[in-house]
Amino acid sequence: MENKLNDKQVQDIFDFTAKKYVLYYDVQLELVDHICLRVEELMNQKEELSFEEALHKTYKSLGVFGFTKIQEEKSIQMNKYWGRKTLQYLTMYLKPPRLLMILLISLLLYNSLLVIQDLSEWLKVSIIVLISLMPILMILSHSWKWKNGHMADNKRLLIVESLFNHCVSLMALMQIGFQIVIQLGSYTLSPWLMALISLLVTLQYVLTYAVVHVFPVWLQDDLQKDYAHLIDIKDYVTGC
Amino acid sequence: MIDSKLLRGSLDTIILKLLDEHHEMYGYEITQKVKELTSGEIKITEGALYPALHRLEGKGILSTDVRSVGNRMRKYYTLTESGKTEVTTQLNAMSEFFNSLNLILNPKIA
Repeated sequence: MENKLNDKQVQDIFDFTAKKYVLYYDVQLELVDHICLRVEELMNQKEELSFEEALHKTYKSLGVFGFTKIQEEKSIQMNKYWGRKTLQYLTMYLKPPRLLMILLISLLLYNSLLVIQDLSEWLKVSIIVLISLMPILMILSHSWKWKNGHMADNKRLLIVESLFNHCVSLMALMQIGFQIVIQLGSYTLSPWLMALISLLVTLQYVLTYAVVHVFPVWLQDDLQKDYAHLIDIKDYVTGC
Repeated sequence: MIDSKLLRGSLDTIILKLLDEHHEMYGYEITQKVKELTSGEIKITEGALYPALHRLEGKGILSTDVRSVGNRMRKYYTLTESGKTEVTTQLNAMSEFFNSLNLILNPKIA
């Protein structure tokens, strides 16, 4: 009779991969199936071989850096995935009539900056810092909720955590861009700098909209496709 | 057994060719199929296979589907539309490479 691993043995292999620093369920899942198949094959070839012996033999054949390399490549792939999704969102969003709307908002912001030009230095700086910090706080609070989402048994998913990291990177990039522009003018805003700041801030809010309303839906679709058995899907977007 | 250094540059082509012929496959199945087709001459390690699969997935060449099989989940890979085009490109490139290599290794026959 063919050897098939029972539920406990499969769980043991999950625990084994976690001990070898494969932290994410979506990476573990594939490795566990692979190891299970190999262990079953070895146990079928040699009936006296115990489960533990077959597992040890399988792990040895993977090499020292086997698991680490697999998780690293998966992380790179996930970062590229969310990068592509952001580009997809921007090319989808930055089209007329929305593009016109963005230009109008930038113009409105530009006029507001003209008004605050006459205010004292510290008040001017405070207002600029506030409008640039608001989207950052919104992005952080929303992506933090995904990260600590609604996984059964506190399972960690790389697809979720990489989106969190992607949002934080986006936020950091936007803030660096914003600070460079501000520092260029040393808070004395020329019309060109004001126009650039207006555009940058508007773009920040466009991306914030994506993080709050678009990415959770895309994430939910991805999760529902592959990991529906793990997640309380109905709460995922409303929970954000 | 074939040297893994020789294999490194052709792993993507092997994966794409197998998926083109078998429509969908999972990781272990790919390693076993390669072993079977080459009578054990080529052995693809997990440490080489999965990073390659993830890289191809990241490029949009492969798509995946996770399904329940008995008491565990299994991830199946299939070629996307751009992946199907990529197979032809890669096979042509590989064939050209072999022809050129042949000119160097067997100048008399060439």
